[in-house]
Amino acid sequence: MKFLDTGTIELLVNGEKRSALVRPSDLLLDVLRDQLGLTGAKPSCKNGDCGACTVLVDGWPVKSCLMLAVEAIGHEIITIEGLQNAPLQQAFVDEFAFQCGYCTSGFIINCHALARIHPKADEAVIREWLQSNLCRCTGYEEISKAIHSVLSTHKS
Amino acid sequence: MIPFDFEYYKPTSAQEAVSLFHNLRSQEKNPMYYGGGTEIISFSRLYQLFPKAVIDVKGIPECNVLEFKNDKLVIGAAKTLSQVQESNLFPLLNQCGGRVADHTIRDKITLGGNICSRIPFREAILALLVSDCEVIIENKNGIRKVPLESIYTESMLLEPGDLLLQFTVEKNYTVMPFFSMKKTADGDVDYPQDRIGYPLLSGVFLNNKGHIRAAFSGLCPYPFRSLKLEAVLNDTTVSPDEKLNESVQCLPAPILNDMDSSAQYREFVFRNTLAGALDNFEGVEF
Ligand SMILES: Cc1cc2nc3c(=O)[nH]c(=O)nc-3n(C[C@H](O)[C@H](O)[C@H](O)COP(=O)(O)OP(=O)(O)OC[C@H]3O[C@@H](n4cnc5c(N)ncnc54)[C@H](O)[C@@H]3O)c2cc1C
Ligand code: FES
Ligand code: FES
Repeated sequence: MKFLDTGTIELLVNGEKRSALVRPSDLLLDVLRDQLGLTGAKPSCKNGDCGACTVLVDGWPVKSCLMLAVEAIGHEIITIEGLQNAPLQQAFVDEFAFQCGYCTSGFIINCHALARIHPKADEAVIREWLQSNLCRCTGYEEISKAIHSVLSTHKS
Repeated sequence: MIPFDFEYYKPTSAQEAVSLFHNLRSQEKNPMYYGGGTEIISFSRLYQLFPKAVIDVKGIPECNVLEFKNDKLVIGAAKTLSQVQESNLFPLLNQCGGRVADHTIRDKITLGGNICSRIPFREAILALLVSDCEVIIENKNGIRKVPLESIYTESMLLEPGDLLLQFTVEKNYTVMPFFSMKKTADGDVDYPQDRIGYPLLSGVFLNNKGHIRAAFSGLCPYPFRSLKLEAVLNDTTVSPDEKLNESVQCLPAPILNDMDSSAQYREFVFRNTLAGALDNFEGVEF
């Protein structure tokens, strides 16, 4: 596979085949937002630090500011728009786990992956995964409660 | 956004990758092998790297192996630190690699990329330095297998076009007792303040049948294993306090002194870490 110049690629996003006109050096985050209109993944640090841009690639959380769009070809991408009534979304509402909401999509995507991959995660694993995201409004306590409430359902 | 264009190639064999590299180099395209791409993207965004072509190594089968073969653990260079960690095949490497950046980024950072990083920490290499790791490299002359220590001093001594394929470690090293730790400037407070960051000091100690091997990152300008330092740690005629004093004299370069920490504080952390490691290995006489 090679991409030498600007061209059209096909990505599988939220279960749909989507076309986008990209430069090989375009970031997945920018293509999702600017070309596909999926603005749920947020740009913030664009440096891998904050996690606001997190999406799922083949079920694993990835910071889309550190991935090229062409790299995502052939992989299944899920953005926050692709989660429909996931238990974590309700848990975030129930626990008031957001204030301004800017970090929320990244946190939900990451926590959703955690609940899927490690439904019986212990405290150490939960902490390790949550460290990937920052909340400038510092709502960590509520976010932590939201993920715990979903995981405890799995445990019981 | 990356403020310039580059070409993207994803070869399906190592030979194709190497020949692409040399072709693109002869066209002055400054090609780079692309593992997770986290460093290439970050530095390109900041105008500190300008590849005109990247060669993604994730489609190369040899780079994607992660298994025991004939009593050797074989780890492909394109395996992510998360994949290595989840496999739990080499607990010491899990710990070193599992402390790099954060969990989500480790889903992208590859073992090969971490070890070839221009960022000086390269924490995953510590586990490989103490376990007699061998590296399998493809270049235009074919495949070669070399001990890691023969191609690593302050960084990887690779020729242009050298492609890291795999790292191999004898199975017995993967089950030896070890002690490892990472201290960051933020310290271990509470979530989220204990976010993983670049190390003030990251250290590993492997107990090889009573003989301690040790490697460090963050202390000096590059990760290192020092045989001189290990001789001091294993010297049964020297008291623990003397060991700490002598160890500081065995470092291969001056202790880093930067805005994360003064050299004095790093030395303090280093001494504490050594003391902790020495205490940790029960049954080993010092
Ligand atoms: C937010 C953030 C936090 C970080 N925190 C830490 C940390 O705590 N500790 C730490 O040690 N590091 C840390 N790093 C550094 C990180 O580990 C390195 O940047 C590493 O290079 C990334 O791996 P990659 O696979 O993404 O590399 P890439 O960006 O793909 O490549 C990096 C280098 O390796 C070369 N390369 C890649 N694969 C091969 C191969 N198979 N053969 C030959 N050359 C190859 C590339 O050409 C390039 O020169 C951090 C990075 C980020 C972005
Ligand atoms: S915008 Fe991607 S991690 Fe901050
Ligand atoms: S809710 Fe505002 S940044 Fe998290």
